[in-house]
This record gives sequence, structure tokens and C-alpha cells, in this order.
Amino acid sequence: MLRETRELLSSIGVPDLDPALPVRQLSVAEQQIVEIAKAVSLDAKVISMDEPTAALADHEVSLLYRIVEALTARGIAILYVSHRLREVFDLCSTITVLKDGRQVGTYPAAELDERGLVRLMVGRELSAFFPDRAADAAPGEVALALEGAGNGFVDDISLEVRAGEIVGLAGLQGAGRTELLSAIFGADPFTRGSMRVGGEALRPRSPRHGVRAGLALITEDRKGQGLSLSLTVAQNALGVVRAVFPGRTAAARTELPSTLEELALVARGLDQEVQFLSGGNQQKVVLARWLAVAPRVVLMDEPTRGIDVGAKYGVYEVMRRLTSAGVAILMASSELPEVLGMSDRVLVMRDGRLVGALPPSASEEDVLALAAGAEGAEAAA
Amino acid sequence: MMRKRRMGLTVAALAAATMLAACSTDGSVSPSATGDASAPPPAETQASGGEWFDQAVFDEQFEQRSATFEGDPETPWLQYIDGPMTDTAEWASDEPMRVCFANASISNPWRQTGFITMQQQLAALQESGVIESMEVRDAGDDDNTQIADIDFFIAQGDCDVYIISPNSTAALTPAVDRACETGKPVIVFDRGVDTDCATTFIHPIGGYAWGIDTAEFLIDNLEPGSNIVALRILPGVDVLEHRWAAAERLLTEAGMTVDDHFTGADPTEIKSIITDALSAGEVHGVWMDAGDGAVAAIEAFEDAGAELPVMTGEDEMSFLRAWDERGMTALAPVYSNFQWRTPLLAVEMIANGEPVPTEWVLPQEPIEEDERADALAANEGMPDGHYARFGGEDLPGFPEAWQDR
Amino acid sequence: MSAVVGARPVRRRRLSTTAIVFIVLAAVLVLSAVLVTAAGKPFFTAGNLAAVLTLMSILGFVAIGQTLVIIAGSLDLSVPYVVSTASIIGAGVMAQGPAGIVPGVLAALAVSAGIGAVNGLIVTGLRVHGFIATLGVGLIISGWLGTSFQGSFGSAPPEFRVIGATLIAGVPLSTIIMLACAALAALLLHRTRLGHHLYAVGGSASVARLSGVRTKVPVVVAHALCSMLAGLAGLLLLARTSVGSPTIGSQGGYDLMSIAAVVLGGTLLAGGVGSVLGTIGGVAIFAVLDNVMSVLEVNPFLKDFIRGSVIVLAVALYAWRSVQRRPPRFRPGKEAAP
Repeated sequence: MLRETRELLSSIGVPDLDPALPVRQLSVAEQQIVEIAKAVSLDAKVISMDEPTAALADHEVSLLYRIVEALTARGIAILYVSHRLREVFDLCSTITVLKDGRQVGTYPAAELDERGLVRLMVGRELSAFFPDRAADAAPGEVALALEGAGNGFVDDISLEVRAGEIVGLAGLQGAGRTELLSAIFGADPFTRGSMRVGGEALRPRSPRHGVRAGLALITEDRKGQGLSLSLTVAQNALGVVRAVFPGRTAAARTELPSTLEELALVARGLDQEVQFLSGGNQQKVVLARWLAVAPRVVLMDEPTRGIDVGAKYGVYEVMRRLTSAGVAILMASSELPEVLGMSDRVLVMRDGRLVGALPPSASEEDVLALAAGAEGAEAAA
Repeated sequence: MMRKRRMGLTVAALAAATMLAACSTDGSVSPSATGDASAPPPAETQASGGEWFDQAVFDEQFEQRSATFEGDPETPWLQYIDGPMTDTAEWASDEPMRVCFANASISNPWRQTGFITMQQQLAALQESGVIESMEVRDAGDDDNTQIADIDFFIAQGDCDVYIISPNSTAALTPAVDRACETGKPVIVFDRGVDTDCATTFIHPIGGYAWGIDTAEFLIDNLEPGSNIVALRILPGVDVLEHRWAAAERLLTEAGMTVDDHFTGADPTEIKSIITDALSAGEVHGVWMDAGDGAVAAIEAFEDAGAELPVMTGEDEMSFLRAWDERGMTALAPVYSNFQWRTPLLAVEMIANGEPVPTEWVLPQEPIEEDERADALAANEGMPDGHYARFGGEDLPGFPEAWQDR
Repeated sequence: MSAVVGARPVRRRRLSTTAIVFIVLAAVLVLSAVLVTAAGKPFFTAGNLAAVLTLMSILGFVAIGQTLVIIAGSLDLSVPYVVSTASIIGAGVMAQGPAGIVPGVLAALAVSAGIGAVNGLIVTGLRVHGFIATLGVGLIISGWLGTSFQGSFGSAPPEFRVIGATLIAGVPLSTIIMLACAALAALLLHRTRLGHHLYAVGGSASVARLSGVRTKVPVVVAHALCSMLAGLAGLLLLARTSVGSPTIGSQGGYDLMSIAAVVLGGTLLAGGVGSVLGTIGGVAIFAVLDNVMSVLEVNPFLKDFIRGSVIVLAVALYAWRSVQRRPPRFRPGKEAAP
């Protein structure tokens, strides 16, 4: 059986995956390869892939590309669903656009460019992928500062984020970005080093402590950690303020409708359970719940994962609005265009440590080279 | 606000709990309603074993085993030990009576067998026009439900006579008192209650008598110092505890080495207990507080290639059959199942205005080796969960009603 | 086509699970009345109604507490033993006479709350699932009860037993106390911060934690309140039986019956969703079913069969509804404007 599996894996272009390993020990990318191999072994004629790269880092994406090419060469049709426009153009020969549950149209890929595709998806012209930085943006006081901070997952982290600044956090899957954000927030508290929030020395011991200090965390796992799916829009949106600043609940409740309107939330009502909202609208509820506590520093982990282009743009606009109001944002993201397009500075992590800082004018290759280390950079390129 | 108050309450409660923990422990040590401090605890007895023992009741049942029973031995369900009688002339009636029966449960084979007997007796009395109907409420082994059942009967107000088989003694006492207050006859059977308001309280001699019969049999058939394994179903049930309390007292006094276990009536558990005991040494005797699982115990001896023990089981068919097939030295003690007929026959006596014994003690005779063949023949074709002394051979529906259950 | 949330959310009328529970209750009542009347017996008599309500009240206390614990994402299997413990402690203290009533009630409730707090601390502090934690605590208590008490213990003075026997306008006092507790619990769930936190923690403990909720406090309080309510049930049983009993709780099977009533009332066993009102409906359904089966003299084994069927059918219905509950974007036959 092992031999057959090895042959199967070779046939889709991954000869070096050990067939004897338990699946739970594999990375997300490798698990996906196993799933694809399973489909191939069943002689599938059509394989659907729904956001196959959502959890992959960029160098893993290129492996997926190779597999997809190997499959199409064998005459297998691939139905590839993705929010990442670049992948769509890289891989697909025909593009079908759905919007609000209806088919907008089907086009040969060659007839569309990114701009045209976005227009079809959003239903209107988007001026740019990323809203412009405010012209008079001058970073303010240091809102968040770490000095030699570390715990079991990250080590020796020193960084500053100023009021009105967006600092991007790049790195490969497993580099420690999520761990760093949850350490700052107090979910997995730092055990060494120092941390200052708004000039005050403070190392949150718990999320509650962090929220009190003016921190907010938009988690990468929206459904598992960001929202109580069985609760309503209003209950979720008021969840944090009610838990930590109960005195402000009434005021937050009054403001909620206008906040949600500003975020352009599409829902049946404030009493709809959030599990029935689309990913983009769920993310808007997540934003609303943190806007309600008026945080000083917002930590964002993959803020646009799994949401459509229009909603992404909405998230970016909220980020810009927050910074112009003097909020500091530290954003971890696997999407390099997003990191480079939104950040004022980009910090790169590898193996739980910060390995460098880059200006937003840096190229994606620069970021990858730093993130992967020298040999990794070659492999990815 | 709300939360603060509730939290405060919780904290206060916790503090009080800490203080009162000692208090409640003291309470449990003081003599309980049923305990008797005068009985000296036998050596090597577990704390719980000694506390169930009541010397006065033991002595009384010891005597009753050899008492003379009034009435025809052919109809033991009508026999009783001579004593005070209740006059029932005020309830004499030519009209068929409506009976209300609050039953504890039919959750074991013994009660199921008895309930069948009762229903067949009912059929006979309906035939003869003594009883019009019997409304049954089954409490599912729950005191609270049975209290509600009795209260419902009282509120409904159309019972001519109450029959109550109490789920437990003390808890049902107030409800039985309320039934008595209606002025209608009240018949209590099986377990008793702590009130003498009932017209008649019907029961076989009791659990101590069972314990005495079985212990004497083992003592007669084994040398002092023999190893006896006692297989008990579960703790805390008074009927079963009394059987063991008496047997343990006599066996230890006779110098037997007794090793008792709770089995939950689980055949696998019984087998492993016997197997363990056999690997640790010889087992000369087996005592059981009920017949269920006796076959499993016997098989464990056979599996180990050990000599079959001297054994006491019950008049349950599976035990009688296993005893017969193997020709063991054994005794089948009896907790007279035929007592389920007696309450309805008491209704007939009440309807006739005949006096009934205030405490109606029914005979309870173990089945010995020489009676075994007769008992088996009389119950030919009955299922394993049937009880030989069910006493329904002369009732309509015999034997199908007991066979198809 | 879809409603954009503004200041005026568009509400679509849909039957809540609680409404369904009460529709089922009404159906069960009607069916019962028909069946009982067809059998030539009266159903809506004062005596029978009192019997239904009395049976409801004891299970009701336990089920209200169980609702709190289940909403918080835990479970309490120790309730029968807490019921017994409360009846024993109450009876022990009250054996001295009427002067013992108040100390007896307080002692029983305090010990009950203490047991609940221990349950909660084991669940939150040692991170043992409520199922196992309360099973263990329950077994410990049952062991203590079994070795320390034979048969009944202590007694309740007549002044206390009045509670078990009093009817106010045909409704047992115990039922009124139970409904008052239900109202308080509903208030706690829907009008207090602790209540919101119970839902949040039960829905997802990690979401609640990342929202700054103290996740342990609500669970401990829910367990303490649940045990206190079980203690109240034990005291009520004491008032009815007049003696403390080490087995009265297990006789009633209040652990599984209360969980079944809670689930029948539409509360999600996984936590985070549910209501006390629904639970009261669930308890009432069981009480009516049990009563009508008693009146019709249904065989006890068939009783369990029917009870079980009702639970399975009801929960299947709720599960089916929650699958259907995602509001459809398009409706058949109606052309939606783009």
C-alpha cells in the first residue's frame, strides 16, 4: 500500500511526501495534497477545490500550482474556487463569476483582466485594491512597544507601533505571527521582556486584562475564536463591551445600528444569528464588536481571510479610518500584496523571531527572501 | 445589581456549608430511627452491616419461623399467625368494590410474577362479583410518584378500598395516613409503613427469617471455619440488607469465614468474584441474597474444576433447575410470592364484613431438597424468572398467564 | 433583495423553538384529554391537575438548574445525590422540631451550593468535562449516603410539611415556588451580565475568553445555582415524605430526566442556546405524558418506550429545524429583483 501511495504521490508531482506518516502530523498544505491524492486515486474526472490556498503560505502555493498543472495534463477538470485573483488568472482557462448567489457570467480567462473581473464581482468599479493613505499621515506617539519580549512560542521580540500607523507582520505559515499577536493580547501571555501600551508598562495576563489596557484582537479563526456563531448580530457586537466595560453597554447599544450601517453589514436584522451571515459580513460583526470598545491598539490576524473583494475593501477602509483617528494597527497577513499595500512598515518573522523590517515599497520577493531565509527564498523563487 | 446579590448569596451559602459540614456528620452518628444501639456489633463486621441489624426484630422473626399458622396449609396465602384482628363490619357490602392499587413498581421478576398472580386473582374476584374494577398506578420505584398516586386516588374520591405496596417505609407513612383518613379500608402489603392505621398489613415473616434459614442451613452442612462467599445484589435496600444482617450475624458467630461482595446481579461480575475467590483458596459455601445469578456462580465453580459448594439461592426457577441438574447440597429460601394474592382476598373478606388480621404474617418456608422435585413439577414450563411459591395454580389463566409474560 | 441592516432591522416572524415546545405541550394536552375521556375517565379534575403540577415541580427545580449548567456548556449528573443530601440534612436538622426549620433549610441549601461550587471548580479549575466531574462527585456523595444512612433519617415537623400539602387556588405551593425560581432564573439569563456570559461561555469558551469574559465565574455560579435548586427539590421532597431519604434523588432519576426535559425544551446540549421557559415546557410535557399514562394504566415498560420516543422525536425536530433555519436567499416562484 505504501508503494502504491508513493507512486500516486509521484504522479501528481510530490514524490517526497512520506506515505507512512499520520495525517495529523502533516502541515495544512500536505494534508491538502493527501486530499487531492485521494480524489485522484478514485479516478475523479472533476476535482473541486474551494479556497485551496486559504491556509497556505506563498511557497506552498507554488507546489499546489504544480499539482494542478499535473492534474490538468492528465485530463482531469479542475473547478477552482478562490478569492485570490492572481491564482485565478494563473491557473484557470475559464472564469465564472457568482455574485449574491447568482451567476454573473462565464468568460474565457484571456478576455478578462483583474480590473474587469473585480468590476464583475463587486458590480461597480473599484478605484484601487487598497484605499490611499491619508495625505497628512504623520505617525503619533508610540502606542505599543515591546522590548525583548518572549514566551514559549516567540522570542526576543522588540517592536514599536505608533498611533495612526499600520505595521504589517509577514512570515511563512508557522513563523509565529499568530502567536505573537495572542501574546501581546494576553491570550498566551509573555513570560519575559517588557511591553508598554500608550507609554504605560503593562504585560497583559489575560485577554480581559489586554482589553482593559486598550487592545483588540481580530483573530484569524473567525468562526472558532472570533464570534459566537449561535448568538445574534447584536449579542456578538456587544459581547466585548458588555464583558469588560459593562457601564458602556447602553451607549454601545445605541450606537450599534449606525456602526453597522457604516460597515455596510448585510443581514436580516440585529437578531439574526451570525452563523447565517457570509464570511465578509461576519468579519464586519467582528469589527463592530471591537469598534464598540474604542481600542487604542488593534491587532489583526489575517483580517481578510476568506472574504470577497468588496468586503476586503471595506475592511481596508475601516483600517484607514481607524488610523486617521489615531489607532495603532499591527496586522499579520499571508497575503503579501495586502501587507505591502496597507502597511506603513513591514516586519518579517521567521521561526518565532523578528528577522527584519522593510518599507512598503519593498517587493514581494524581498519579503519572501527574508521570511524564508536564504535557501527558502531560492526554493520559493 | 442582580448579579451582585446572587453572588453574595452564593458566597454566604458557601461559608455556611463549611460551618455546617461538621453538623451534619454529627447527625449521622446519632441513633437513627431504625438503628438499635443495644445490639453489640459482631467481630469483623463492616460498619454498615451492624447498623442494619435490629435484635428485637431478629428475635421476633426467629420465633415466627416456628409459629403455628391459622388456616389451611393448602392455601398458605390465607394463613396467618394468631393475633389482633380488625373488625370490618362497617365496610360490608353487596356491591362490587372499586379497588385502587398504588404499586411501588414491577421492576424486578419477583414483583412481575406477583403482579401477574394479583391480576389473575382479580379476574377471579371480578367473576364472582366481589370486585368491580382495580385501578393501578405504578410509581416506578419513586416515593414521590407514589405519594402523588395515593393523593390522586384520594382526590378522585371513588375508591372503595385502597391497596398500597409501599416503595419505602417512612416516606410513604404520611400518604398512607391520609388514605386512612378517608375512612375507607386500607390494605398495605410487602413493605410496611410507620403507622398502624391500615386495616391490615400483609407480609411474609421477613428478611431476618430468610437470613436465619439460610445461615442455619450452611452451618448445618459445613464445618466451622469454612470459607463462605456471600453474593449480594446491592447495598441500601432494606429487604436485602435484613437478609444479610441476620445471616452474617449467625455465620460469624458459628466461626465461618465470610467474604461478601456486591454483584449488581451481573452474571459476569458474579463469575469473576467466584473465580478470584477460588484462585485464592477453597470456597465451601455460597450465600445469595436473591436467586438471580445463581447459575453464573455455579458455572464459575465448574469452569474452575472446583467441587460445587453448599449453596443457598431462592425459589426462582433458574436456581431450582440448576440445583436439580447438578444434585448439589442446597436450599431455596422463599420470600413468599403468593402474598400478592392476599390483599385482594382481604378485600373479599372486608366486603363480607369478616375480621382480618391487623398484622397478617404469611408463612415463609424454604424449599428443601425433598420438596424440590414437587416444586419443579408444579412449575413445569415456567420461565426462569418465575418463582416456585407464586401460589396461583388454582387461579384462572394458569399456567399461560405466567408463561407468556 | 436582502435587507440591509440600518437603524430599523427587518424582523421576519419565525416560530422560536420555545413556541414549538409549547405547541407540542398543547398538542399533548389535547391528545391526553381525548385519550383519557375516550377511556371514560376524567382528565381535567382538580385532583389530577394537582398531581400533574406536583410531579412537575420537583423535576422543574432540577431542570431549571440543569438549564443554567447546560447553557454554560457543562452538565450536572450529581443532582440526584444532591437532592438526597439536601433531604437528609434538612431532616437531620429539623428533627429537633419547628425551631429547626430555618436552620435546616439554610444548611441544606448551603451544603448543596457548596457541592455545586465544587463541581464548578473541578470543571473550570481542573478542566475536567462536566459529565465526568459531576459523575465523580455524584458517586462520592452516593457512597457517603450509602455508608452513613440506612433507610430514612431524621424527620420534618408538620409546620414544614405544610409546604408539600398546601394548595393555593388549586395549585400546589411547591409549583408556585418552582415557577418563581424559573422566573428568577430567566431574569438572570436575559437581564444580567452573568446571564449573557453564560450564553457566551457555553457558545464558545475561547470566543468568550478572547472577548475579555472571565470564563470560569459563570460556570462555577451556574453549577452552584444548579445544586442549590436540586437542594430545594430535596427539601420539597422532604416536605412531602416527612423523612430524609438517602435514595430519594436516585429514585426519581432526576439526572437524566432533567437533562431530557432541558433538551426537550429546546436547549442545545452543546451549550450556548436555550431558555428556562422552554425547559418548563419540557418538564410539563413529561408531567402530562406521565400522568396520562398513569391514568390509562400503561405498562411501565411501554411508558419508558413512549418517553424515549418523545425525546428522540422532539430533538430530531429541533435538529431538522436548525438545518432549515438558514434564511433562504431565493424563494420558489418569486422572481427576486437583482
